[in-house]
Amino acid sequence: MIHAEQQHDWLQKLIAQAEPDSIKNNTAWLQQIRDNAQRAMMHCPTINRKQEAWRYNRIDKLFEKNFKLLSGDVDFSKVDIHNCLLPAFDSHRLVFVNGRYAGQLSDIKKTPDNIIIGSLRDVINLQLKQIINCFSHTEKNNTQLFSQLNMAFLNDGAVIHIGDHIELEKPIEIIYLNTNSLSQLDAADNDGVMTQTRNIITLGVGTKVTLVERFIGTDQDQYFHNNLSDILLAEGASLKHYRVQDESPEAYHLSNLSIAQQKNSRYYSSHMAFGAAWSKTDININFKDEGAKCLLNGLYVVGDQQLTDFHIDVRHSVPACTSKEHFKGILYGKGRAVFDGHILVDKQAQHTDAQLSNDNLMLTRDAEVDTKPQLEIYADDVKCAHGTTVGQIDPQQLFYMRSRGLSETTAYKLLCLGFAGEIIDSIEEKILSEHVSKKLVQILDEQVFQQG
Amino acid sequence: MLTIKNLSVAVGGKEILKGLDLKVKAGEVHAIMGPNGSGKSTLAYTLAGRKDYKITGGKILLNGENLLALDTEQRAHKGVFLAMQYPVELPGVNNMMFMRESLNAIRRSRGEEEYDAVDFIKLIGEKAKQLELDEKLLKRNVNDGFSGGEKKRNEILQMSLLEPKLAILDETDSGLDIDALRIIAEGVNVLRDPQRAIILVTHYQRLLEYIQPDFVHVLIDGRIVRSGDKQLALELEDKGYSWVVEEAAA
Repeated sequence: MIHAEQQHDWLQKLIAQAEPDSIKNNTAWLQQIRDNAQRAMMHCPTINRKQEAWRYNRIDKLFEKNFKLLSGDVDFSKVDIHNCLLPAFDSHRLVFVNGRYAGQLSDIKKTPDNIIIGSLRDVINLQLKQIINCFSHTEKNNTQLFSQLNMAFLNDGAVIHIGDHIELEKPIEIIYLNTNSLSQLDAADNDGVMTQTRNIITLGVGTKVTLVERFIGTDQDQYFHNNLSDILLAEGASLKHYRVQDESPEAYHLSNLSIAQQKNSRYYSSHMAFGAAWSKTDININFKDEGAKCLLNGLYVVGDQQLTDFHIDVRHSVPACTSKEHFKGILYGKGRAVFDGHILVDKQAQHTDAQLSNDNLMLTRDAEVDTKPQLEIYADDVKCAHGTTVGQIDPQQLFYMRSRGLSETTAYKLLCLGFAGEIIDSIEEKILSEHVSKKLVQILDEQVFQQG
Repeated sequence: MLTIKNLSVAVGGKEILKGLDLKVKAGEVHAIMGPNGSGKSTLAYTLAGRKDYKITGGKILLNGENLLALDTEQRAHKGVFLAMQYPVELPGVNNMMFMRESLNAIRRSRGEEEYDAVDFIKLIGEKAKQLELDEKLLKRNVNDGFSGGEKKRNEILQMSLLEPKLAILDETDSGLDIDALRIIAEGVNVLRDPQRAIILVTHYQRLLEYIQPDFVHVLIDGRIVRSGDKQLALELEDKGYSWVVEEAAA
C-alpha cells in the first residue's frame, strides 16, 4: 500500500534536485508548462492498489527508489552505439542517450521543409505552434501523475512531422539508450537515472510512414525511463509503428501513447516487451472521424523479478471505425503480467468493428497473469468480440514432438516460438522481426531452458 | 528385434495391459487386432514411451536393450516410430522445419551428418510426391487444419523420412477412404525391409488386404489370446471376436 506521504515525498525530492534549464531556447511558455506540471503532479491523487488501473501493479516499489534527474551535458563519445544497431537496417535514425538527443550517434539527412525528423530541443522554435498545442492538450487532458511528471522534468524527445501526401521510403527509427555509466553518478546515494522523453508525431493527409522505437538498457543498470508520445494521424494517413521494449533487467519503464486518428487513417502497430523489472505501457486510441482503423499486436515475455503491464483503451466515439487488438504473453519463473484492454463504443459509433484478444502461455506454476478484457457498448449496430485464454503447453504436443526425436527442451522452444510467431510475423520490417525472433530465442535459451 | 515379456500397464490407475507377450523379428510385419478397449493403443503408446502410462510389470527389449529405461526421444533415436491414430496439431510450428529438426535430431544422436535446408527440401519433396501429399502442406503448420486423410499421410511421410527400425502404426486406416488407404499402404509397403519390423494396430481386416502381415495377433482384455497368420484376420472379419473370447475363456 502506498501512503500519500510516500508519493508526495518522492515527488518533492525530485523537485528539490531539478535544475531549471535542460532545454535550450527555454521560453517562458515552456517554463510555465513545467511549473504548472510540477504543481499539478503534487496534487495528483495518490496512486493506490484500490484503483482499477493499479490493482495488480506493485507501484510502491517505484516510489521506494531514489532516482536522479540528469543535469549538464552528456559525453556521447563514450557510447558504443554499434552494439545497439540492427545490422543492415537502413533508417532515419534518432538516438537518445539518457533522454538526451545524441546528434553524432544519429543518422538524419537533410530533409525537405515538409519533413521534420529531429529532437524537441532542436526544433522547438520551428514547430512552436504544434508543440505548444500538444503540450497544452496534455496539460488539460492527460492529467495522470506520470504524464505530468514527464512535462515537469522533460529532457528531450522526438519531433516527427511529415507533411501531406508523402510516402517515406525508409523507416524512422528511434533508439533510446539508457546507461548510468555516463553520468558520474555516485552509486551510493541514488538508484540510477530518471529520464523523461516526449515525442510528438504528426502525419499529414494521405502520408505513409513506418516508425520503429527501441528501448535499450546497458548491462544490469537500474534506471527509470518515462516516455510520453502523442501521435496525430490526418485523413488517410497510415503509420506502421513497431516498439520493442528491451530495457535492462533492473529498469523501470513507463510508456504512455495517445493516438488520435482522423478519417480513414490507419494505425498498424506491434508492441513487444522483453526487458525491465517493472514496465507499464498505456495505449490510448481516439477515433476522431469515420472509417479509421487501428491494429494493435503485442507480445510480452515475462520471467522472474519482472512485472509487465499493458493498458489499452480504445475509444470508438464516431461511426464505422475498426479496432483489432491481439496480445500474447509467455510467462515463466515467477513472472507477472497484467493485461487490461478496454473498448468503449459510444452511442453514436454505429458500425463499429472491435475485436480484442489476449492469450497467455504459462510455462511455470508460479507465473501469474491478470487479464481483463472489457467491452463497453452503447451503440446497437456493431460487431464486437473479446476473448482471453490462459493455458499451458499441451503434454500431447510435447509427446508427439519427442516421439519424433526432439528433446523436451527443443519441443518446448518450438512450441513457444510457434505461439509467438503470429505476432512476430506481423512486423513487416524483416530485419526487425528477425531481431525480435532472435531475442525470444535468446530468452528461451538463456533464461527459460538454461539447464538444457 | 522386439521382445515384450509379461507386460502390464496401467492408465489413470486402471490396468489395461495384463501380462502381454510378443516377439517381433526384423523384416516381419505383425498385425494386432482386437475389439475396442482391449489395449491396442495402450500398447502402441507404451512402446513410444508415454510418461503417463505406468508400467506395473514385465519388460520390453529392443535389440536386447531395455526400452523402458529410455525417454521418448531416446527411443526415437533408437529407431522407434509411432504413427498416431490422432496426430497432434502444432500451431505455429512449420511442418517442413519440424521434420527437418526431427530428422537432424535423430541423425545427430547417431553421429551422422545433418541435412542442410537445400538438401532437405529435395529429400522431402521426393517423399511427399511418393505419397501424393500436396507440397503446400509442407509449408503449413504441423497438422494444423489438415483433413483426417492429410494427417495420416503426413504421419507416413514422417515415417518414410525417419526410416525407423520399429514402426508402429496405430489405426492408420481409420477414417480413410479407399484411395487414401491404397496410397498409404503403398507408402508402408515400400518401407518393408529385412532390417525393419512393422506393427500394424488395426480394428479391421481391410488394411491387411493392402499390407499383408506375416503374423496376426488378437488382443483381448490386455493380453494376446491368439496368434496366427493372415488367415486369422479373415476369420475374425467373418466371425467377429466373440469366438476368440470364448475359446480363450475355455
